[in-house]
Amino acid sequence: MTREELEVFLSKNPTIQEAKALARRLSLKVKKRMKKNEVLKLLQDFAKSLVSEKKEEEVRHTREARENELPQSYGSDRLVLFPVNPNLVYVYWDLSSETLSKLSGQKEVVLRLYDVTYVVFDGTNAHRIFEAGVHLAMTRNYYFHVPMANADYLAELGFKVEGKFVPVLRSNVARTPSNAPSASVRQRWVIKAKRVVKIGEPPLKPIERIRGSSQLESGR
Amino acid sequence: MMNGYFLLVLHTHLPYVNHPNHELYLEERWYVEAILESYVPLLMMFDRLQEKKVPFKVTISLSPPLLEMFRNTTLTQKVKDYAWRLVELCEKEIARANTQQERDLAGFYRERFLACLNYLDSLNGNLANGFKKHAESGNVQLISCNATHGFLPLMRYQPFAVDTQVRVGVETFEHHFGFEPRGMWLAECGYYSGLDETLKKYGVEFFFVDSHAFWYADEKPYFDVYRPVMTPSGVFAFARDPESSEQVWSATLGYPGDGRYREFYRDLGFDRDYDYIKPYIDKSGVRVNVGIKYHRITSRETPLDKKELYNRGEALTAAKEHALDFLNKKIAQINKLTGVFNQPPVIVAPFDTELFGHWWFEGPEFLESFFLEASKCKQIKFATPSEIIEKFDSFQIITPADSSWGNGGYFDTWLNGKNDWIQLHLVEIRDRMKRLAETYFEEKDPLKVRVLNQMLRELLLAESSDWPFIMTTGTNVEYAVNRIKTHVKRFLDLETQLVKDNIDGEFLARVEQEDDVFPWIDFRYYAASQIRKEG
Repeated sequence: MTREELEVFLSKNPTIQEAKALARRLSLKVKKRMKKNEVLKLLQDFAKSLVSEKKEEEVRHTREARENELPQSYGSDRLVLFPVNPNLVYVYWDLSSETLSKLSGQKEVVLRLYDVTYVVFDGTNAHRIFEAGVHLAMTRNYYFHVPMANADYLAELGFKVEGKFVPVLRSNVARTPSNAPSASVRQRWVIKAKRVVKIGEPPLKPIERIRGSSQLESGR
Repeated sequence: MMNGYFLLVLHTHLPYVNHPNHELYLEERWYVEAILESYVPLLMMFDRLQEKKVPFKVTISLSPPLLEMFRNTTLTQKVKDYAWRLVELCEKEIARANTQQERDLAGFYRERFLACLNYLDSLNGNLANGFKKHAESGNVQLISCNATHGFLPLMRYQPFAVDTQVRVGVETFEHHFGFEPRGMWLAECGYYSGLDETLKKYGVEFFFVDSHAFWYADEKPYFDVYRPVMTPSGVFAFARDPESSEQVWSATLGYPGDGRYREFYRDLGFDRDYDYIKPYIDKSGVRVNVGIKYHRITSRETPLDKKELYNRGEALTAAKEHALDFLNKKIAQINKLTGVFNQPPVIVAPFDTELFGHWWFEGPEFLESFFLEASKCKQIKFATPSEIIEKFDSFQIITPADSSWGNGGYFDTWLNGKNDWIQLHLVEIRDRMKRLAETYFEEKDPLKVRVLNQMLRELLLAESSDWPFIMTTGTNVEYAVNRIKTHVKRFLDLETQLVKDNIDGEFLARVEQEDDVFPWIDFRYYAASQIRKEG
């Protein structure tokens, strides 16, 4: 048991039985006649004795962490977009010093996300455009909640001058996963090595679970 | 009467944890526990079934890091040393026991650890031999897994990274077993449309996905999840049956919660006086589970210190009852599905191997009883994926949906606010590896080739899905963070040395010794022009 776990236990005002049971499990000397305060004191002292161990651990970890410190940036001028689930995409950027200075001179740095499903994007033909203001000094990534599953998205990082968007970096295209059965009734088959196309619905309906659904605590 | 097929799939993986210059490392205990509690007991159970001539079929994926750990003699020695120390602890326990029941329990563990040690010796210390034996007898179909269990959907924008993960997965398997794997377990069932083409390229005939990969596919699956489908590139996909895992895992109805089963969280490592147990817990003095547990679950509500003593006989009775119950449920399911489809259903039940034995102590005996009882009835047939592909002559062609078997069914577990920082580094070093592989493609200097090969090993080890998973679940986070940082840092340091022509041979030798996976690997895998050579 760590010091933190023990402190959490103590903060919950345990009963004398609980405190004694724990003290015994920690192999502390519990006497039958001990009062609750005494048992708690015993546990508190034990918690304090764990401090030095923890600190040594910390020193060791900080030393290892310092030795392994990774670069904050690789100056690669990259905007990378990942789908996370049908309604969430993640984008991060890694800027060269030139791009960074170009953007930091701007009043309004923005991140754009385009729905480019089934289009060859030319900068103007997206189905929908989503925009978010960005503080370059504070953040290097962004999660967009997106309305469409099974859709292609593309991000651009840029700035606005007099309301006009000027893109600086463009990301890859990321497709959000599907979250619903297909609307198609076509079935393609390989039957005895021959390709056959049929039309029809399957005889079973899957029993699905909807992401993020939960019982309301208050309803119990 | 028509039959139904049941495919039990055990996915076996641990991240590569190897600290050869230290005593038993805290995280090396994952491996020790898995061997002593799951892998050896399962292999012994397969042996018993075979001796009794009980027909059984199991599909087992063995991940490349695990195969590389099996081969690692330093690690095997650590497992044996630890098992011997546990035997010694059991002897102390027998001497100090107050009751016959406690003495019996200590004796039970002593026998168990000794049997494990014997078994390891019988396989020359390499568990791969045990799995291979059952593969050769036809009861087990062994399959591979992508190289370091990297989560492939998050690598798809760097296809050369996916290609190398799949390729190294196939090659590791061949190196250990001498034959090609016909199937591959994709880490976390992570699939995206198009991945089948890479699998096809390396001769992989089938893989597994979660149920909704079929349900949300480009066209509706006629047989739901109860028949494999063929992807457009001709690779077969098998989908998980949601009912089978629910029956085993469910918090309210699941079998492992039965009061007669062994309690996982009550362990001598925490129960005994500090000075007495100190030689058996972590070298830092932190208490950990030692794997000797005298208590049973008793009831879910019973506090840990009130648990009653374990009774092996009762626990085995419970395993038998549950096996019968599971069998009856499978038969009912097969009958229902046969009624719907008028064709034999294929039920696919994949589990993490460590569930059986490690988390659920009596899990191997549950499976044993299940196979034993099932052998007496005709409606349920066991099969391997390759047999299923042979048995049917019609398959639907669909593209499974992008998905995983993780929480929520997509990619959240491996990409969220707790672990998203790793992407900056992984994406960067993959691109650098690709550029270097192309620049140095014709390199002849053996020292430089060694550096480049080691860089690819560091990259692959950093890609393991275990690190972001651990950051999400919140236990051992520091170790996971440190592992990613260590591998990326080693990659960057080696790169600097290579480019500056200033290679530190001592440093190189040290990282080669610690991160000693895939000794045959070739950095040129990462070059775009590289196509797999035939034969």
